[in-house]
Amino acid sequence: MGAASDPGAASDAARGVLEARGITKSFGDRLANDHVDLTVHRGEIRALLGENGAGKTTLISVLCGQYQPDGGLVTVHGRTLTLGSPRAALQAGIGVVHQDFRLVPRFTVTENVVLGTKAWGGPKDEDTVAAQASAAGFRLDPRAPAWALSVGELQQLAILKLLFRGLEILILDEPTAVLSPPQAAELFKSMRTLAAAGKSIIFITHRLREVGAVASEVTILRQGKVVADRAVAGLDAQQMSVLMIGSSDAGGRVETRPGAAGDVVLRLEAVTVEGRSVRALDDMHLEVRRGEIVGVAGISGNGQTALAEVAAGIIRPVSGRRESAAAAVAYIPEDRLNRGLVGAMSVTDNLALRRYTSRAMSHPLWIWTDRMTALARRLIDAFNIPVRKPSTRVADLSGGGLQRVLLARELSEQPDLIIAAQPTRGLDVASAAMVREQLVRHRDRGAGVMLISEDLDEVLELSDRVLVLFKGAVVGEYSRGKLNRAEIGLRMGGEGAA
Amino acid sequence: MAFSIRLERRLNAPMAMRIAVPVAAVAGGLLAGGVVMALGGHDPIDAYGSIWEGSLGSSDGFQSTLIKACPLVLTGLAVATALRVGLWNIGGEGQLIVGATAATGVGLYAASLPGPLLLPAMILSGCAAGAVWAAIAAVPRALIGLNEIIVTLFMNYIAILLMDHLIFGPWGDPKAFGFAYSRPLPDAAVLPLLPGTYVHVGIVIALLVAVTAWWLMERTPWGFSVRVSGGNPRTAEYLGLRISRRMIIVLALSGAIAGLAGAIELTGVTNRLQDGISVNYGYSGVLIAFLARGRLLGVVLAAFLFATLVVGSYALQTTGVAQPIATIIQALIIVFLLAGDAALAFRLRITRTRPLLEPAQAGAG
Repeated sequence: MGAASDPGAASDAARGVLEARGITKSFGDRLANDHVDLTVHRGEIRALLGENGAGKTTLISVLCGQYQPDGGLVTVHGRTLTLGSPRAALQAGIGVVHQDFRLVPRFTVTENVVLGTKAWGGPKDEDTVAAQASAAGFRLDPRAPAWALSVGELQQLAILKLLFRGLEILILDEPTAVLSPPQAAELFKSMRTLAAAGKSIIFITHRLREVGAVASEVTILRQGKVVADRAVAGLDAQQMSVLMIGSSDAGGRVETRPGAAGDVVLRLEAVTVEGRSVRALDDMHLEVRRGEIVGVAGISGNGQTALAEVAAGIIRPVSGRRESAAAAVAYIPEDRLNRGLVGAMSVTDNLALRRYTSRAMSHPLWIWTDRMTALARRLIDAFNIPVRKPSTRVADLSGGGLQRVLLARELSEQPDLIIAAQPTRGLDVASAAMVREQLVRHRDRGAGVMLISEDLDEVLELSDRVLVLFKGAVVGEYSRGKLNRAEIGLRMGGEGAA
Repeated sequence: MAFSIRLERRLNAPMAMRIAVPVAAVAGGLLAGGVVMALGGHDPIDAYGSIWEGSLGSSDGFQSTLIKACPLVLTGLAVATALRVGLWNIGGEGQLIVGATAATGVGLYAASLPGPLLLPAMILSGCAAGAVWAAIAAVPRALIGLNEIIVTLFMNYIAILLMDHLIFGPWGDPKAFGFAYSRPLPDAAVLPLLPGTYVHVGIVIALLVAVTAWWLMERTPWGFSVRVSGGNPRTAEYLGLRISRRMIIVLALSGAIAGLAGAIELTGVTNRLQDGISVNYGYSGVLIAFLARGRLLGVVLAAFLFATLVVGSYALQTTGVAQPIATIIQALIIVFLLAGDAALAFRLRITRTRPLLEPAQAGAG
């Protein structure tokens, strides 16, 4: 077959609820979508996989009417959709849950749901919202203010907005990026419920494991083209990864030879840090030695941020001590743009943030900007930072690009101690693989590494020693070879004997 | 068939547009101003002729423009400098006035200083007073986060009242028949002129300050650290930079620049402290910094443009056009320029729209 199909001629049963044919969209000289086809059937959960820059966001923006494509056709229930009109997409029944939810914190659940519709949020609407919530398996109080909800609940609210409008085609843009594993499991359950009730769901993700967990079909994009469009059954994570990034050896796995631990490079003794309502860290003891990766597993919100910042020496504990023998500390913060970079400054400036005072770059009375640019060009090459010009503003980079800038800056100093907080969260597979490789490489060079991550697979794969963080304290320690996935999972959830 | 027009954000405007848009904006402002003048019963062509003649088109006009540009360059620089550390200095007006006031104080009470020392002492005291005035806002901003926009703004009123108190009271000129003038300053307190002109050397000082500010902020490691602190305080903290200290120093520097404008205006133009020593120079500085998109060297260009408009509108008034109309024309050009600048960030797309849903045609494509 291969040629563009003819939606008008297809029978109703075989036809998808949504069919996109030959979607093409370019930005300047870059072809973001190159004749992309996508079909979603009634009651189907279709995963949309691809690296950053593969064209997922562009495709979604076309489907929801934010972009006008250069070419292509979208039909919904066999009728041609007017492209480039968000109103037309909504009328056709297409809705998107964005990563940042776009809700009003001071409004209640019901008020957020009805916002933008003709309903005004009275008791009747509250009943409708409550009924739709429970039908989808959400536990949401329709009168609760949005600011009081957890991230998982906010996401349920964002989905509820689409359900209230009677939309049939739900697009979830990386919904699990902000969720803990149990929250994600709950979301998947709701997705299945919704699909069983006849909704069609397009599920965007970076996490290969999740595709198998919830989707029945998968479309994989690579460099703007569809490289796979098939059932998930019979496809394993390794194969998906190969399709997504194009070669079998860059599958996100790295050499996991154990390290050889040396002297202690960081020691935390009885460290306590106050948080908003509970203690962020409570009498924490921890050691990191040269040549080892200490993985810190745990569900987010159990003190990870405070631990990272104390370990990196940025905040001081209320009580307890931090001792470090490191001459240079690299810190990869969780909140990359807001904690480690200056968005309005160039890639060159951001790469020089730790070095602009060095003799090679400046004299107290003069900065040699050409030397800063030369350093930037070198690091852009070495770390494959996706920019054309070093003068590009950092705020214009993608998540993977930001992380590469940070890594390039922090790791090029040959640090003795590396604190990496959620270093692969939200990254495309190639960038994530690079992060992992770099951590292992610097460990082998003799640096002590603390890897704080919610991604248990990543922690288990890379760490020489695993600590489990729960409510600001270490509740379990496992050395390589004695890792017990099930037990670690229990401890992360606060179960299991100490 | 319907059309829809939509705005799309763009990352980089082509160079040609970046030149064409401001030029078109000025032309549009002049055109709109012409309509206003025609409605007011004046011949726009004559009027624009006199603006040109009075600002750039004659030697006298050009010299007036240079004189007017001097305080505007400095107040624009004051605002743009504070922006480097992420602060808005709306207090240029007050800092300029206390600068002029302090310089007057030195001029009146240290008049016995030898001639070559008096002028530098006055100018330095003007800078110091501006710095202190700004620091009064900077310290609470840096230490407890008190909003600097409000404090610098309110300090303007205090500065004006302080000046009024002095010129109506202890420093008042008994021979000024109740006008708000201080006693005149000694002859040694007058800024020299550029040879062959009646333009005082203040404009040279202002240009030197512009280059120095650019060098300090854009080409020294310390200026780099200031820009990091202003660009993202949380990253500055991560790098271990002391943000509060930089805020205080930079806002004080910014105040010193505005104070310098006051001392220069005093010694170069008025030669005594008087009400109206600042014709909103401090507030114009905010607009100028905005027009220059916060760039230090761009401020020089924007200030010259602004000075041209101001001096041109004076010339217009001498031809019988009422002052409000002259001000309207000035305002129109600036509004057009700001609108053009905003428009550069977007592009218009006109697309043909079809009915929202229509049956698919067989064999589409």
